[in-house]
Amino acid sequence: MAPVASSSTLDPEYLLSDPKEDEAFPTFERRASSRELISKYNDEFALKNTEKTYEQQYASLYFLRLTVLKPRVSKVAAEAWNGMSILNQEVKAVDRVLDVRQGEFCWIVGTVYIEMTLKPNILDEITKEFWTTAPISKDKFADAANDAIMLEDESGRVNLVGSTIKSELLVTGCVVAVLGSETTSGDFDVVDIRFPQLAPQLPRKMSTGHERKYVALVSGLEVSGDVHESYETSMLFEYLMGELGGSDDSKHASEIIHVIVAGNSFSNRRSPVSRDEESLDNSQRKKKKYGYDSSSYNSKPTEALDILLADLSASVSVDIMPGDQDPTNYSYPQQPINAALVPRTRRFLGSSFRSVSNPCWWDIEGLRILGTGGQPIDDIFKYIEGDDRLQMMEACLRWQHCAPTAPDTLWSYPFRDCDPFILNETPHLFFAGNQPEFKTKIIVGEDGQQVRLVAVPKFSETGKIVLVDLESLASEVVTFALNGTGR
Amino acid sequence: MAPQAKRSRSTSTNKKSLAKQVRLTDSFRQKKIASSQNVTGKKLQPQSSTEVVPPAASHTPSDEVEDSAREIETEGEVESQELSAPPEEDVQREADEQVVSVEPEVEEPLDYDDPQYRAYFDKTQKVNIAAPIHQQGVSTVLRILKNFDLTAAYGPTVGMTRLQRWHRAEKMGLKPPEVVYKILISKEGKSMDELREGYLYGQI
Repeated sequence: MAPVASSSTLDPEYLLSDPKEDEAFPTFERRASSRELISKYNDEFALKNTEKTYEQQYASLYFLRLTVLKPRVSKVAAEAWNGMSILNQEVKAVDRVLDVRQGEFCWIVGTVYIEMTLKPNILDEITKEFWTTAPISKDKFADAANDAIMLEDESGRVNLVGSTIKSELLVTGCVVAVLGSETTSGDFDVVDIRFPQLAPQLPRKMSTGHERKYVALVSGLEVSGDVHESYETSMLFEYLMGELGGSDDSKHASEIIHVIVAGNSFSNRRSPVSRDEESLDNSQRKKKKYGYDSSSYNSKPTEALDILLADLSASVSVDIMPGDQDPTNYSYPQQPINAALVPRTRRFLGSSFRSVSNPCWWDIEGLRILGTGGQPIDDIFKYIEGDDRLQMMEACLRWQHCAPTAPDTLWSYPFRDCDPFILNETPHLFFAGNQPEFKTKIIVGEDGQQVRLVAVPKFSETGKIVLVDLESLASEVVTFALNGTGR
Repeated sequence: MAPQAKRSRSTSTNKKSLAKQVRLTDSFRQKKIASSQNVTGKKLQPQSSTEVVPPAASHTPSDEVEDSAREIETEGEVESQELSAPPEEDVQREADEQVVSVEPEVEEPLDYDDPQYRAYFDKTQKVNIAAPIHQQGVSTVLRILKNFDLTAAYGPTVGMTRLQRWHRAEKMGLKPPEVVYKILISKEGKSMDELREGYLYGQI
């Protein structure tokens, strides 16, 4: 099935006529773009092997989060609740969570902790060793009836009850302020809740040029290098290089000044060799050294991706960000993929190719972008009731924290000096890769901040990439599909 | 006539503390003089042999008195707080102290008997309702450091040295006490495990 260039305006008559003598064909050039990484934030994600220690506990991370976010929430809460009186009693701020008194209306600030009965618990696993129940793998671990929401700070925890708190989108690790009073059973009955809301945003520098500029967000390529590699992947790379479709498509592609490959570019399918090995018996199996058989290493995904990226880097600047299946560390924040894995593309390192961490902050032509490989959003998805990914992304911005479930359920490095996931600034564009489908919206903050949220879908499943216009923040989807494959 | 002359037991200690005064940072010397003013209750003439470098431009003599007055008032407020809250050292810090303190290259030997440690520690203990038990053999310096470890406001202590914790608290703007800093940057404070590491070192 040949690919059809549907957006071309080539006239069939033109194609079937004789070539003209002095024909001039327009060549489109990509303009050079200034695209930088915001080192102020990205440096905090970088973990040098020589400086990493695991002697500290995760309590430091929670302490840092609370210390930084507590004043911000307190400010919002004070503006909302100072001077308010409920039942002729003036509400006041209480410094420590355990200092609430029964019958007094007060507000407290702390980190939310949700005790979930269905959440996989290491202690349950140990007890299960003695029983034969199979573990039930679930998509979601939230159980609204049985989950207990608590507020925690350095003094202790208090249980939050009330209908207000049940209807809010909360995960373990976000810092909130709650207004209410203590009940007779020692729980805190919540009347109102406040979040830090969107952090201040730098104004966007609008350039005066008339040409459009796009940044292309690609996610979930899952290049495998097999014979059965999807044709859509090569179509995508040809499109980005301007080789696909008619002159309209080329022109559109030339307006893409930057490509961000966000997560899961390498497929983790095992090579066919290892599958045959399973049928051999013990004597015939190859001896494993250090626990793995090095001859069963499948280098095809790396080589295939290398070739594709090298071609692409010659044409447009590319940033590659790791995802949860990529060959870099698993815990969040993920370190940049080592360029030694892509030797042909490595030649472009320093000019048009760059390997970045996950998450990452960019500044492309004055537009501030925060991107993740999707792990924090996927993790939040597991612990709340709803399905709306954009709502979760918006909540992250309103909590001023891009990965609140770290380190509780999202593996993270035990940071000791600063929590790098705290958002001190709201980006103009916030995207999360490897999402199940494309969704986008613009949210507006209290001080007029405007953020474009984009959930970038997995390319291997949907064949879609997202182009975001740097001037207007409009987003469009380009779909690559073969006719007749039903996508 | 140094204020220390009244309290020190030997003249050699006196000389050491005088020599030390030369190399301290300006602001710390201000506080030292201020606190010693507080202790002796009479205004001192700055010793000409020790006031080698004049105080920073923003620090006029009237500021000095103000600082000491403020220090006296706010440090007296500790009784309303629990032990775990930091002592309200609301001493006004100069603008250049907002940045992370840089350790001086020369490491001072630690004077375990320095009376200001005793004075500082007694202030922090005002919130206690009972005398501490089993603490006869423990030096004041160690008690100050343990008290610093137990102050919840500066965060968890496990897995880092006291100096790292102090720097983290300063970076967060929590204003950790300078007395503790002075102990930690001394020669013993950097080399001895007992002083350098938290009280749970080796146990967790």
